[in-house]
Formats: sequence, structure tokens, C-alpha cells
Amino acid sequence: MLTYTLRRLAYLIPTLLGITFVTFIIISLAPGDPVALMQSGEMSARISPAAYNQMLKHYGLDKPVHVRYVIWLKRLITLDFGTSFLDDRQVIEKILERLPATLILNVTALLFALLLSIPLGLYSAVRQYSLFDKVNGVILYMLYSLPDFWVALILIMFLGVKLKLLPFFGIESMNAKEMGFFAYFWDRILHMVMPTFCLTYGSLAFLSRFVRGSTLEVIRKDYIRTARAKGLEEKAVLYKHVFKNTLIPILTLLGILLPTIISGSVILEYIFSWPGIGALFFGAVLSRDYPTVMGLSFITAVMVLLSTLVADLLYAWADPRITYD
Amino acid sequence: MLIIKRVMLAILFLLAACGSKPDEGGEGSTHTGSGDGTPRRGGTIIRHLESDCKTLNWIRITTIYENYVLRYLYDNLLDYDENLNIIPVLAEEYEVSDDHLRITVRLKDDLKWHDGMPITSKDIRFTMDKILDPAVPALNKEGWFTKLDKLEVVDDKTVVFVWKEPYAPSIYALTQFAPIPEHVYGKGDFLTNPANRRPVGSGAFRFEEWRTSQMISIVRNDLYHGEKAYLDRIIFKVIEDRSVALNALKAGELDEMRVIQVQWEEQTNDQDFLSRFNKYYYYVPGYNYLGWNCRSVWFEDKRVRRAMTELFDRESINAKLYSGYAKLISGPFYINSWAYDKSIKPWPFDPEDAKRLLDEAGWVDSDNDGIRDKNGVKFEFEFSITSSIIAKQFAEILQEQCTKAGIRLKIRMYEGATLFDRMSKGHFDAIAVAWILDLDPDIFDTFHSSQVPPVGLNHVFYSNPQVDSLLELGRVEFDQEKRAQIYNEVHRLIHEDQPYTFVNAVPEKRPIHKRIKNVVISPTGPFNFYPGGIYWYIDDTSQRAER
Repeated sequence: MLTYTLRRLAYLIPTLLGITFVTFIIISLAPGDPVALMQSGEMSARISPAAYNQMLKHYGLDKPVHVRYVIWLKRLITLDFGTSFLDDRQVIEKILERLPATLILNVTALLFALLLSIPLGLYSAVRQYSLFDKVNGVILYMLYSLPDFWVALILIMFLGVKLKLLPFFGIESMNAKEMGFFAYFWDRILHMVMPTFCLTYGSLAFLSRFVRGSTLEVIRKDYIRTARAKGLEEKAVLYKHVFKNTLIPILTLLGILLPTIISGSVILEYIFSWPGIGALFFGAVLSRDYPTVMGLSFITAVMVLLSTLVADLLYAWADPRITYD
Repeated sequence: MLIIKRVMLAILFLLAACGSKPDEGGEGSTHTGSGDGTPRRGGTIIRHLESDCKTLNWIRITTIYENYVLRYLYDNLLDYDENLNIIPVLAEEYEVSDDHLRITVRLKDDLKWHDGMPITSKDIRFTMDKILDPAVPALNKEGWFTKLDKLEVVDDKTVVFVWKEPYAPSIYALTQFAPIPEHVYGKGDFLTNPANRRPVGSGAFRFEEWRTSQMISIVRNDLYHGEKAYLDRIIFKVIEDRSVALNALKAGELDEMRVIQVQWEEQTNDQDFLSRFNKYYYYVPGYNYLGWNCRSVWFEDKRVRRAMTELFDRESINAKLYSGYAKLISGPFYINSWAYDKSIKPWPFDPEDAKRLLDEAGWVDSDNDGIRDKNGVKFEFEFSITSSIIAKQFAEILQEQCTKAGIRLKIRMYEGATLFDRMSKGHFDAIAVAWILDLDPDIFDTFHSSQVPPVGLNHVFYSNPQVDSLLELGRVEFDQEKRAQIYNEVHRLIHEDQPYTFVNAVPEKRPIHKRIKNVVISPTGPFNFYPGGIYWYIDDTSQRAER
């Protein structure tokens, strides 16, 4: 197990090199020039060619792509992501500043999605073709097909503007600083309701159908029939034998879902003015802020690779048939 | 959103228009609601920031959003007043020498930074050094001072800007110049100075707090040299999505915002809204245009370019897409400027005449395939646009007329940054974009033949020796009347040559809550002049919906 883990960790390095190299090349080859784009913003700007070249040099953009990649890599070894072209702040500082907002939103949404979808999926599977199963399926598919940005805007219009029940933008109220602890806590929760809902309902359908599917598969297995045949209570059959085995494919899914908790949702963060990673990434791409784009891509890549590794290791833990030795 | 250089690449903002009947605004300045005449002190207003600021270092700003905030935090040496006359602000007085090479500026007495330190000539010198420092990207400022020879410090309060050559926009440059404090920015690395996010300024408001991507708040500066502001605090809320912002406006979470066409026309005309908001529109300096690459085989002939203009139905576009609000234009100057010659009328929409011009230029359908050709080259060109809806409509309307006239127009859509890249390199046949202009009419950078890519902004490769020499003259003529004559002539020549199809000037549209009084709308809008929004005050707090 340990050697396996170490080997997998060692594989991470060439994989990451490959990922970052390709990302770096692609983003650098995309047309558009960060220095020229800095002049965006409805302001008159008269930049002389000399100043323009000076700026290219300042940001190291006068060097060929492969040289820039090597420089970036050298810095990365010391965990230095460089400075953003937009405001000369450290990329890591910009990311850390926004990470909590994205994390709290996505972790909450993921938890809700799992907590709701697993029981829904299990129950649907156990009562396959029952009324509950059908209604549940229809409702979830309906939700699944509603685009989240549309739902978000409708919610904002009704719950936010018409009924004034919930705040609809930002992470906290303007006067948050003056609130007491509980008032502040409550304020933060209120601000999270709509974005969390929008993030959750889509994956709910997907997840619970997934759980239902894998449960159905397990239920038909011989060992379940054996369990029932030897007279086990239905409850015991479900919890001990079925549920445990349905968990295995869910672990794979977690490997996929985990990285998304830091990458953020661009559209929803935009609509709810949520100061998170998604908004940062989107802005960085549009303005060709290479260091920020690379920093975020790198972190996401690491997250993806690590989550897959963790998922694989959890397999061995959940399924005694699998060993890595 | 992409708005680039004096330019805006994106049709996104500028082209997006407004509708219904004109409410207020337009030419000249408008004062509204002075209440009972006695400004009340106190209160907080909330302004909209369409996108978060990148920096609050005055020298390094690049976006209009940063300008929104810094307009309150810094005073310029000189500035425009509400009627676009130049007035001294931090300066007590200024004097231009007879040879126009030296501008002497004397600061007002007892000027103080927000931290109480005195504002002196040393700060001006420091600021200018930083603007001209090659290691400091000062995109919005540096270009104004490339013709500056040196800055002489005479005494604590007097400086002389010495220019290398007579340069008519030099006075305009000083309306773009606000000193920053040396004792704050002189310490440590300039580019990463903490004050970039916590500025110490000279304006009527001082910085309070910045929550990244959420809000920026500023409070009244009681050390201000002029009359103190009335408001206690101004909060800038960052809401990037426009429909969410409009909802916030309606819910009382914002006091003002810039709206787009459909919002102006369809979402802000109900009784409730009109009872709470004044709707203003005004023409910011800038215009939309179609640029014809004068070096391409199709558009090298000015008759063809004029034909293209005559094929483009700007009147009906104005009616259809802008509900009649946009102003058709005929030349490259700000419509409210003395440089713009109102007697020059735009070319009419006239497809028949366009066909005649094309025939005359030798573009005829010689092989009867329905497409005009000349010397074996077919009239088939690419029309480059961003993916904005309005740009698409422009392209389709032109395409329809082109097809009828025997021209094949292929629409090519690009992502903003890509289109901008192609534009600045001159890699296009035809393009639909927009310029944001300065108040000074010097358009040397955009129309002088020396300014073709990669040097300047003349990306259509326009070249007319007469225009060249007039543009050179306009830069060294200081008498406004004579300058006006020069630029009127430039206007006429460019109108004849049609390197661009000048489309229109589109107003900016901005509802402002009625509780806010003393709103002055200059020809360029409520903010870009002195004192701009500094002396707004709140008349009745109860009108605002409370959450």
C-alpha cells in the first residue's frame, strides 16, 4: 500500500509537468496580449510604443514561450506563483483571499447534494418503479434541465426583489462589521441560501440517479439473495450489504467532485457577486493574466490528481477484494 | 467587458443604447433637484461598480471603475467644469508662457493630504517621475507627458512644466494630473506598495475600506481644501451582472447605476421606478464606427469606402436598435466639442448611389456570377466583430445590403481580446468597433499616416498628406478658434475620404435616486468634471427602501 502510494505520488510529477506545459502553451498561444488589454476600461490611454515594449519586458513577455515556461517552473519549485499582471499582487495572495468564499459555498453545496441524493437514490432503488421512484425521477430530471443561471435570476427576482426575503448578492451585508456574532453568522447564512440552492439542485439529480443505478446493480447480486435467503432482516440486508457496496462507485464520483470545490462556479459566482475563485479565474482569462491563470490551473490540477489518488486508496479500504500490493 | 485604449472594442457598452423619450440630459449641463436649497449633511449613498477595481494607485489606473472611485479621492491640478471650461482645482493659478513651452502652476495654500501632511511641489515632482518611470506602467497617464522636457520645482508651491515643443494638448494633460503623496508612495516598492489598495489622496473624500470583489467605501475628508462634502460616506458595491444590479437598484441596495438599452426601455419605466428615480442620459466622448482597411484591395479607393457607408442604413439602425437615441455623426470628434463641425452631414443611406460609386471605382460583375470583381479579384471580404448582439445586428444589416449590391460580406466573430489583437495589428478587412475620445480633439494617434500599426492607432492605414499636415498643425496651435478651424477642416477631409463609416454616438444612461440632490449633468455626464459628484447630498432618507 505504501509503495503503491509513493509510486502514485511519483507519477504526479511528470503528469503535472505535462498538464502545466500544455496549459502554459495554450494560454500563451491564444491571441490577445495582456499589455494591450490593460488599456481596456473605457479610459482614454495613450501608450507609446516604447512604453508598450517596456511593459512587455516588465512582465517578461518579450521572451519566447518555452523560456517563459521554464522561468515559471523554476519559480513554482519555491511555490512562487508570480505576480498578477493586473495589479502586481502575488497570485497566491489573490487566490487565498478568495478561497474561503468558494470553499464554504461549494463544500456546503456538495454536502447537501450528498446528504440528499444518497437517501433519495437508495430509496428509489429499493422501491423501484414505485410512485415515489417515478415522481422523484421526474422532479429531479426537471430540476436537472433547468439552467442554473436562469433559476438564479428568477430566485433573485422573486425572493430577493419582490418578497425581500433573502439578500441576493455578495457574501455579507454592508454593515456586517457592526453586527454581533450571531447576527453576522445569520447574515452569512442568509447570503448563502440562494447560491447554495442553485449549486445543489443540478448535481442532486445526477448524483441520486447515480446512487439509484449502482444500488440496483448491487441489489441483484447473488450475495444479496444469499443474505435474504439466510433470513436476514431487510434492514440489515440494506444497510450492511447493499449500502456498503453501493458506496464503492460513489467513491469514484467523489474523486471527480472533490476538485470542483475549489475551482468555483464561474456563472453563479458572477450572478450572485460572490467574491470567489470562479470570478477570479474568469477575469484572469479574459485579461490574459497568465500568472493567475497558471496558478489556478496548477492548483486545480493538483487537486484533481490528489483526489483521484485518494479515491483509489479509498477503494482498497472499502473493497477488500482490491489490494495494491 | 472590453473597452480598449481610447477605444472600446466592445461595442458592448457604447453600442448598447436606450429608448423611449428623452427625459433629461443632452447638451449643456443640467441641474436637478436642489431641494429647498440648503444641502443637508450626512448620510450614505451607494454607487454601482460594474467590476472591481484592480488598483487604487492613481497613476496605474486603467479602467473607468477605478476612475469612478478615484475621482473622489484625488483632485487634479486643473480640471474641466460642468461646461467643459478648464479651471484650476489643486492649482491656485496657472500661466502659459508666450512660446507655450512653459506652464507654471502655483498650488493653493494649505493643501493637505488625507493624513494631514502638506501637499507640495515635491509631490508633483515625485508623481511626474513615477509617471515617466519606464519601470512603472502608467498607461492612462504616461502618454500625456511624452512631450514633457522636464519639471522644474521653483519653490514649495510652484512648479513649471517645461515642454520639448509647443503642444496644444499640454493644458489638457494637466487636467489628467493629480499628484500622489511622496511620503506614502516613496517608501518601498512602488508597484506593490500597500497604499495601492489603501490610497492617501487629496480629494473631498478619503479611503475607508476595500473588500475585494465586494465593495469599496470612502468617507468625507474634513481636511479638504474646498467646501467640505455633504455626504458622510459613499459605498461602491461591486455587482458584475447587470440584471442583478438593476434588481439591487430597485430593491434600494443601490442609488444609481448605468443601464443598458433594454433596461432603460423596458425595465425602468413603471410608475414605481419613475417615482423613485430620475433617468439621465448624456453623450460621453466617443463613437461607433466601421473601419475599412485602406490597404486592402477592396477599400483602397475612397469611392468604395463611401459606397460602403451609403450601403449602411444608419438611420434605421438608430430607430431600430437605439429607439432614436443615438446621434448620427459624420466625423471623428466628440459631438459636443468645438472641433466637431455640425454643418457636415453624414452621407445618406443610398444603395443606388453606392452601386454607381462601385461601378465608377471599377468594381463590376464582369463574369456574371452576381459578385462584383476587378482585375480578377472578387469583392469578397471579412467583416470582423465581437460576439455582441448589437455588433451582429450591424453586420447582418450591412450584409443584406452588400448582397443586394453584389458584394459578399463574410461575418467573422472573435472573442474580444482576439479581435483587439487583430485590430491593433491591422489584420482585418473591415471591423466594427468604437472609440472613447478625450476632450482634447487631438486625433493624431488615430488618423496621422505615421501612426499605422505597429506604431499607433491608425489601424485602418489611413493616409492623406493634407490631413497629416493639419493634424500636425492642430497640435501646435493654441488659439481655440484657429484650432477649431483646423479640426473642422480635418473633419471635412476625413468625411470625404471615409476611412471609417462613422456610425453614431450613443448616450450613456443612468438612473439616479431622487433622494440624491445637487446632481449636475455636464455634457459628459455626472462625474467627469469638477466637482462631479462631490457635492451630492441626500434630501430625504425615508424614501429609500430599507432592508
